[in-house]
Amino acid sequence: VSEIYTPKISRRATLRWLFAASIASSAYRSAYGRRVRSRANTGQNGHGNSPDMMNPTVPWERTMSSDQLRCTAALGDLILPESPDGPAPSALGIPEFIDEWVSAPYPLQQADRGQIFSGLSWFDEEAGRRGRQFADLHIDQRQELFNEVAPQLSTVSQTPAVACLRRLRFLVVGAYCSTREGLNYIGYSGNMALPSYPAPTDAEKSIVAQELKKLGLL
Amino acid sequence: MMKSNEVYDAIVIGSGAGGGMCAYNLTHRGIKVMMLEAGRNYDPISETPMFSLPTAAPLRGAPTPDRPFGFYDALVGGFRLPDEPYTVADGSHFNWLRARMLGGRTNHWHRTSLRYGPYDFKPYSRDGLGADWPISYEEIAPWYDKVERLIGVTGKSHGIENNPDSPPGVALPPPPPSPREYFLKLGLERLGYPVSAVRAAILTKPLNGRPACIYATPCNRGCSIGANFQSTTVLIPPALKTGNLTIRTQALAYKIGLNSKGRATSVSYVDRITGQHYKVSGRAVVLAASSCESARLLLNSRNSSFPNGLANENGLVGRNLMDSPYIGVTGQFPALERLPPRNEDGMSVSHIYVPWWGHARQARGEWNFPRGYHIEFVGGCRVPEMDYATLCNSSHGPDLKHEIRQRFGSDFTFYGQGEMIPNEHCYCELDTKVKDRWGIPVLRFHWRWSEHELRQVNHMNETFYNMIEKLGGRVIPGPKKEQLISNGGEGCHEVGVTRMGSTAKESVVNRFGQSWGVKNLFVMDGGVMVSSPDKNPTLSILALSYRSSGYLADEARKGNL
Repeated sequence: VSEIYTPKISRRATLRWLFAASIASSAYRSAYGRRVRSRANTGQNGHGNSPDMMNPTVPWERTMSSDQLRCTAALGDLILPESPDGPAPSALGIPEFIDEWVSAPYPLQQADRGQIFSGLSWFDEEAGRRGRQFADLHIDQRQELFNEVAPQLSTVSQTPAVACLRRLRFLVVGAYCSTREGLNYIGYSGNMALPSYPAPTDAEKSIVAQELKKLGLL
Repeated sequence: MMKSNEVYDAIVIGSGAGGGMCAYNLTHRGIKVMMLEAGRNYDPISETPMFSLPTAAPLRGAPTPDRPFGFYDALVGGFRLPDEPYTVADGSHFNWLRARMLGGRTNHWHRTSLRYGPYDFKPYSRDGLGADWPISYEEIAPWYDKVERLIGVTGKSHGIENNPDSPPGVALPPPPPSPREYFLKLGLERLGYPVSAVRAAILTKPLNGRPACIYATPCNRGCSIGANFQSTTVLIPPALKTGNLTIRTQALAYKIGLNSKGRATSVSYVDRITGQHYKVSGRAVVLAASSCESARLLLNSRNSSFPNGLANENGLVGRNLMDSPYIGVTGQFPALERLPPRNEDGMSVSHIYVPWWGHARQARGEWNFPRGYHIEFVGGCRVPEMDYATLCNSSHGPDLKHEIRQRFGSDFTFYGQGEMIPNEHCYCELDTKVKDRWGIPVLRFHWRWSEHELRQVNHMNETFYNMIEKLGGRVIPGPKKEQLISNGGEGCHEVGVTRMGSTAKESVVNRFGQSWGVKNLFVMDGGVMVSSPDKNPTLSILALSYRSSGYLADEARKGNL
């Protein structure tokens, strides 16, 4: 876990983000399995329906304060800590991505913004009882405070801290696993041209057969 | 209003599956075609982000309201378009997908290419619901053959009821399943389900100058090498090469003009960028603007002779609106965690699918819904999406870090796509108050799924839960039961609003998509469909358009139009 977080990516501001609450009409919901589509359409100040996909830009400014960004980085590194074979989220620019996410002018992201900001405030306020902001606490104190909340993630609790951590977990894992380093960590080896598509090997077929046998299907 | 002096042999409105196929066929037969496309020009060669990773995209490419299928999806358009509203009646839930780009939705579609079967053309005769088509499978089969030879469709002969195979020598060899799909295939077959090789409009061998698939990058982004089917890579370039095709993009058609003899002679359109209005003249007019847009055009072309809109003497334009009900249920399979990760990108679309298996049981009345569905799969070792954390149980720390690696490649979403039966509650009409930016009346949608679809979707849900459990998996929590079914239009298969038929009384167009009342006016998009089988409609739109445009050319040569 990085002791003092320094942003790893320069800001990519092109247009100032102005969110108009009135255009956030309908909510994104996971109605059709995991690969869902978003329904509402605000369009304004987002990337629009015909962006330059070959040269993508983020047309809204990131809006987190430096304190919020540091707190996010510290929490992210506790959610998915550095390991010998996988860097910490903060080393991959995940906090900036979460800033980009919560600053986006879309209903889902705006809903996340409220939840995450409330929770970040809670962590800093609780850390304040120990005389510092969360990101400035000793690692053991951070972990201690984090551990007060983390066990509740699988419950129905909707306290600000739990709701925040739940969404941060979602975003940190999703963002981490889509970086080149994250893809390498989980074992993704695609996105390269192949002359033909290989059939399952005998070894792979054997594993499948063993597993189906265990299930009583072979 | 600016008028062009040139009179084209045919004006084709739309450039997707229906319009692209029609233009391809007509231009190759020496017919001068003006194609009007409401959207912008689009070049798949220079605009397809083939190997871009999610990290380069805003929000990691996640779906947003203005990019409803994700940032990198090829579609320019969406469920809501600036300046082009539509309305939905109280109590209805309908989302209308519109493309605004050359090639239309063919640039981003799923590429699953299932032939409609014999039962699909005669549903009323089988169970007394819906209506029969005026054509049979046997009549359309040669056109499926021609389309498949032209665009390239994979397939294997399985001999499954109501799921026609291509004749020998027509289909391309399908790719093998991935190891994880192999697990699904063997497991589901042992459970008694049929599992077929994918039928997809993606080349596994070079065809007509196009290279084979490279088994990388998602097809919904488009394909810069032209290995999958897009109108913009397969149909429009060769049509342009004939020298007989002229294309106007950003041209939103809104009115068809008739002469005193009741023949279509012109199409008025507005340039969506400049707002300038134009009128182009032609000897025949083909509507292929997408089903509901074509219906809107007919309704907006009303005049003193056709006060309810062109081809709408019987009030059927806009009626019989159908879509495909669908749901997805995701399973995570511990058994798959034992397989080592490998490159499984493949053809984007899963290499296997489960065709409908319940005809006999429905005929015996064992199930409480009359029509079937098929199952497609998405999963395996792919680039994770933003919701990857939903596969993991650990809350945080080293356990979670370990788990994200352990779970990789072990999930599949089972997508069921079913047949819808037309009902009186599903239709579109002109809104009497709302107009678009250019003053053109917009469509108002009415929608209500019937018990047939609701029961069918419940069956899908129960079946997928059962399949996942039997394969040792756990279901990743999804929607509540009352939220299972998609909203109308979200299957993106809206068809039926300009239905074909055997008589003028019961249909909008005849068996060749020709208007009963205006002989040189044709419809060649999904609007002509009489039923909405579980099979994705694009291949059938192509086959019908190929057939109908050939008829148009023949009739024009005979002087019958």
